[in-house]
Amino acid sequence: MAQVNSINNATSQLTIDPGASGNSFVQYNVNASSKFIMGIDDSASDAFKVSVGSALGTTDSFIITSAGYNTMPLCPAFLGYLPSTDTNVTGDATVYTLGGTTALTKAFDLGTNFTTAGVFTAPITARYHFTAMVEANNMTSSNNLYYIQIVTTNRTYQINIDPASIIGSGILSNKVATVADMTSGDTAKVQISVANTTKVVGCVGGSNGNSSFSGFLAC
Amino acid sequence: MAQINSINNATSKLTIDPGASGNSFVQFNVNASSKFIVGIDDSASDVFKISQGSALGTNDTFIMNTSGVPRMPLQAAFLGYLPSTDTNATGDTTQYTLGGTTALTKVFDQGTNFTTAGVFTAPVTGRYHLSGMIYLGALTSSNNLATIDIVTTATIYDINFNCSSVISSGKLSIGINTMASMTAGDTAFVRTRAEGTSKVVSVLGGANANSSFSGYLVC
Repeated sequence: MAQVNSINNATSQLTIDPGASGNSFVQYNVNASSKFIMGIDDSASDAFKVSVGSALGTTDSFIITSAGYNTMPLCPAFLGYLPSTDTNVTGDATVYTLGGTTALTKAFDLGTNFTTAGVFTAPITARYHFTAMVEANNMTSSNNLYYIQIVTTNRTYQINIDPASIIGSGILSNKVATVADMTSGDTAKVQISVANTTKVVGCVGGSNGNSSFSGFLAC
Repeated sequence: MAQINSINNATSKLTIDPGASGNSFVQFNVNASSKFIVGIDDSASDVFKISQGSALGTNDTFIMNTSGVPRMPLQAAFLGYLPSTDTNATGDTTQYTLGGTTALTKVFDQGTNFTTAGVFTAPVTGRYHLSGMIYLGALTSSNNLATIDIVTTATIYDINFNCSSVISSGKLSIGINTMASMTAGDTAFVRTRAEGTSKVVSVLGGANANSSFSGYLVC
């Protein structure tokens, strides 16, 4: 028999059960204003949710499926990639910003914190995981330094390679990943530089995400 | 009018509302000992929290703001970098441990599981994302191998690089990223080695986190 909104003092059990159908939830209000709601969404295969406001299914922030998988649909997360190649952007040590010339294509941008100019702005103070990949082309054996960096307000995370003898095709990818401390309002972007020739080195774009920037709020 | 601690059997809704001010919460106890508390913290802009103990705002474990953005301030997460260069660290196959010579500078260490000696100890059994970056200097064409390892108790994650023809500048960055399964108490650290010369190869440090170790508990 369904137990509907019962409190069992013997087992310290608070049960909320709508019976055959309906949601089962706790509503957290302040002064009659619905702030958060937590419980089971009957219309979403009985997933457990924490949602902003007064309705499960609207502004869902945390979801656990009946199989135990959890997602956070409002957690800041983004992926942008260069859709087409930018030619002659470096080679002479010019610092090229991904998205600074051709606008990036955004694959996703939960929370709308990422611009097509390639800049992510932290919505809250937290630890963020970032990954950047850049494919450069038209390099020669004269290019003796190729770095990629994630530039945040607090610090720069950088990988340096010497491409001189590993660019038989003139093409080489570089990548960097880190967990970064970001204060609310801090920014992050990706830059590369290739040195020791003229400005003939390009940044390769395409829908495969050869040159891309992604990240998410880790904790 | 504010609805204070009401049970509505018709809608299977338990409503908690302190009125004009105050927290709105459910307290989970065992034998009169407060274990966890779930609800809205009125003193923190009405964010939703799961906190340990008896008070929202103390030992907050899960926080969701009114935009639905979540964070976990007690989730294990760390970032440390080598603040200055360690010279003559390898080159003769010596295994150099990041933090083993010059102490690392800790940028953050949620949960205090990371030492300046570069060792992370898993506080719980879980899956951890780990990233290591090493920036080598004073390489020559005789250095035919450079490696970077993330060494966990269970597994060594390894990247090998033949650097003999890519070091015209004498410098090379190597990065490694992985998901690691770690049992509570397991450790992880980053090490590197170069081969082919005497012990003249440096590990370059600096505030840009060129040589660093970071990670966090994913799930």
